[in-house]
Amino acid sequence: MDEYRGVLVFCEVEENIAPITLELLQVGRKLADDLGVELLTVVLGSDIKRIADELVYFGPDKVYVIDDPLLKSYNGDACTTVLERLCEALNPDIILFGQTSVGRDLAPRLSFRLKTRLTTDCIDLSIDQDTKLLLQTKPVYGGNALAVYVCEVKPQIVTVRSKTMSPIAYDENRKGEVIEFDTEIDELIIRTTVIEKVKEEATGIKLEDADIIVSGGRGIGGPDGFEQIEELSKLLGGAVGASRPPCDLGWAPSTHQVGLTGKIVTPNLYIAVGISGASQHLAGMSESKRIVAINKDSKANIFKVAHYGVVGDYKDILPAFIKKLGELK
Amino acid sequence: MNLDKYEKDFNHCLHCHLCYVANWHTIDGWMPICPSAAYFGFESFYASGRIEITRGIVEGKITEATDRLMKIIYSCTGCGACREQCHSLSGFKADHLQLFVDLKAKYVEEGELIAEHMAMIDGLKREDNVLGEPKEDRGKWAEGLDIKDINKEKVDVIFHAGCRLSYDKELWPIVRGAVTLLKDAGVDLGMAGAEESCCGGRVYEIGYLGEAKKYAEDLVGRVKASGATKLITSCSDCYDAFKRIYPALEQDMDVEILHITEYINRLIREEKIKPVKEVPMKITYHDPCHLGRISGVYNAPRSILHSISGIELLEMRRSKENSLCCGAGGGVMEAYSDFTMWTAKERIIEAKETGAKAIVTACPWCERNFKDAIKEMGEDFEVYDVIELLMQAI
Amino acid sequence: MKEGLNIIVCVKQVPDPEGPPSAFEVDSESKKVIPKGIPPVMSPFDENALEAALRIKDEAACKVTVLSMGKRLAKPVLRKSLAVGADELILLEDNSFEGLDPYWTAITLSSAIKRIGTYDLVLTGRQASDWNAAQVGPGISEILKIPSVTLARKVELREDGVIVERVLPNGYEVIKAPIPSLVTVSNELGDLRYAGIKEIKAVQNKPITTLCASDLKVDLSQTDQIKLLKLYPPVWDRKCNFIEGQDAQEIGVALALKLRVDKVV
Repeated sequence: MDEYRGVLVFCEVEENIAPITLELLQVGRKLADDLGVELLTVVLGSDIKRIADELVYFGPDKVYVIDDPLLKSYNGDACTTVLERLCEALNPDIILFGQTSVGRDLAPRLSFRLKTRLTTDCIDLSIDQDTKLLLQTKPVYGGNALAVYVCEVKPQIVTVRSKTMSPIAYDENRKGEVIEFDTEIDELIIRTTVIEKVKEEATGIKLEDADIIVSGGRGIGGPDGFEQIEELSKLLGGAVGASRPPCDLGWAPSTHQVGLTGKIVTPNLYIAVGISGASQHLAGMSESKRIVAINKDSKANIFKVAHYGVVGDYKDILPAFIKKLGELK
Repeated sequence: MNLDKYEKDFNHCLHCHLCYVANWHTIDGWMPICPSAAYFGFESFYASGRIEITRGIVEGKITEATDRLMKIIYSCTGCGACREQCHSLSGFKADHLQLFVDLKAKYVEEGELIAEHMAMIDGLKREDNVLGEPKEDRGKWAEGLDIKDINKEKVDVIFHAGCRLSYDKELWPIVRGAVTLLKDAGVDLGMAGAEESCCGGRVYEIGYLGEAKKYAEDLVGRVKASGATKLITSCSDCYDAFKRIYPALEQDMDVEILHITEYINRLIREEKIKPVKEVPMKITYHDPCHLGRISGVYNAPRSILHSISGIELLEMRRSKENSLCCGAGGGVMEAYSDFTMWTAKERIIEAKETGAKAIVTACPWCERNFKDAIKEMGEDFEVYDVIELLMQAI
Repeated sequence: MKEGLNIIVCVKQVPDPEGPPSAFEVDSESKKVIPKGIPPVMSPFDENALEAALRIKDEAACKVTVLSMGKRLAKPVLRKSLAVGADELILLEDNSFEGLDPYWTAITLSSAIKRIGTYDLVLTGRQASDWNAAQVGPGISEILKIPSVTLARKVELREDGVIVERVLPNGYEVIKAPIPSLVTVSNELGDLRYAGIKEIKAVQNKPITTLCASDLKVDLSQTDQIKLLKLYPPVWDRKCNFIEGQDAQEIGVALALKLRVDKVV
């Protein structure tokens, strides 16, 4: 009998439960069911009873709460230590983190503390039916290859790329247990201090958060073309993206760049307009759930990853497309 | 880089050494044609030796990338003379040019890099040109000429200036002249300006095949998006890159690729350009390797020169297929400048022997190199591009 | 800023991540990616980390030591770190370093750092561009039992500690950590300064230290706790469904309807 049991999801809190947590709970539920074990979640913070209670409706069997004023904002030292203690108490088989700024900081440190291994930035997770081990798939070499890992020490820890899993739905009928995990935090273990947090002005929907992204490439032909891209994205409630050339050419701000050296996105719908599909760009968007490509060149690389393709001049296609979408709304 | 595929070629090479001399049937004499053979002397520095070295690497007898080995491999200017001689005189059908590039690529992959080439690649990555000059200055050569911007407007013909001509101010009259001729002939012409990038040819020749492919992909994308039907360049290296290297990198453009001399020659035949003024001058023409021997364009530049009255064209002993490289190609100018300079001087001496007063060519790399050599030699000898002479006749 | 401090920067050699897809041949048999026509380079985020160290050195004299490990390292590539201003280059080269997972890599690097002895700041890139593991930095901090701050966009070394601006999704936070600490650096910090031909040539014969596994007293006999089961190129089985029609008008309408049926709009 394996002494490690259960799938533990690390819950991230922004003001409410962070979207990534719902994605982790969805995939965590599936993994737990496949293994026939409980789905657990842990939430850290200060004064977070409300969050803990709400978490129950998203499917975990047990919600562990570590409530301490010292956990008010994220601190790596404190969080690693309390999680280490929780893991020692629970012996989870699998731990899921989001590939977020918190997950990136915390998961590696916890894995070293527990002397286990970690796979970051996974885009697919499943259980090997023979070994009952977690198959961890992640893109490597800038998306030019996919690697599947299996870890033979426990717990198996992974971080999961945002939006690669669908979020679990809220269900008021779900029942779960909320458990306070009592642990003392010695202030002395906290070695780093946050002096200040600076918010930077962001306009519109962030690329990483957008469900729909409309991107333009060199084929747009100039900054004016981006007005049409903007119009379409606004209509769809999405964000505007771009491949590298328009950013280099100054047609679009560099913060809009999707690709290996820009943002890596996985929206539900990605509309690529006048984008040829250089690997640099594909690395940033090829995992999107639906890809539409509009390009004049029928042999353009972008059509290799697209679900729907339109061969033609975007200037002719978009007006009718936008008009029809408006009618459908 | 897998060099095993050349295994057959190792045994086919008989070490006849004809790869380093100009075809003696046609030039009636024994003249070296491989610059590095002529300069360094040892067989290891010319084709048969480099093939033997490749055999040693494949058979595991050469394992260490010594400085000497690197010098042997990287002192090939990629002029294609060995291939030309070997193919015409023996049954050997290997592609020497590709073999020696692949040999360099092997060491690039292993990180055995030449300092000067590393600096060039760094500069290229930052500024999109092999000279490391500021990207934003790229289109400056065309200031005031009112050329359409292909990023914004549709054009029929794209003019690609290339790195050397974009930044070497002394050579700007060549490109300014070329586009003026084309515009005056009614050609619907455009250029990418500051957004023009390196063709990638030079970095291909020093074994950075992946870097070359990136630039090829970028340029092909730009050309396709423009909807143009022709791509014209004044640089022989760029021309060869578009014609030969791009297909090797699986990059094809559905446009007609022409060297400026080919296009202008066509426009002269169509009487859209009329050289009317007399230019009395004794000249000799140097075939740039990438335009002449490698691409087979010998006649177009000569034909333009013949269309100018007053020009007396005197051929050097080593011309056309037997032309001697100027010494600047294949990354040699960057890494071994003394050797490059020596080669250019050899060529100038040969040019002067014809009795000409000027050497005319059709590639900015040759031109820059000859200008520098003449300056060092303290000679009173001129260097012109074919287009510059034509401009004098208009 | 305090003078005379010691900074160690860990740098990984990777195949140039900016190469085209064809430069990365995926050999599923050997489970390796074979670089084609691209040189090895310093991993970009590690270059950012080196730049962070050099900026500190610009302000106050300190010693920057670059540490790199691998089965076989390309010296001309790593010497670039000396050309841009690092003081010492230490290479950890051993056959047993091939294909080590981040856990054992961190153990080996930590052992080398302990061997160096004095250090006030350890810097790494936030992740390497090849296997994208993003854990060696925090791992080293756990092994050395020093604090760590990830995702830095600015690093300042002061008398009494390290001040780090850490990238957040909607801005950044300023964190103070004591000396010694480990900081992982993100691209927002800025590109590595440029080395000219003169600088690159000047360091080609500068002595470098090479250490092997036995020098570091690390036991790498059992390192297969995490296994790479499969490695394959991404296959997009998306038979692109081309929308056709009489004219652009019809196509635009058809596309909108398709997306509607699929419930993505």
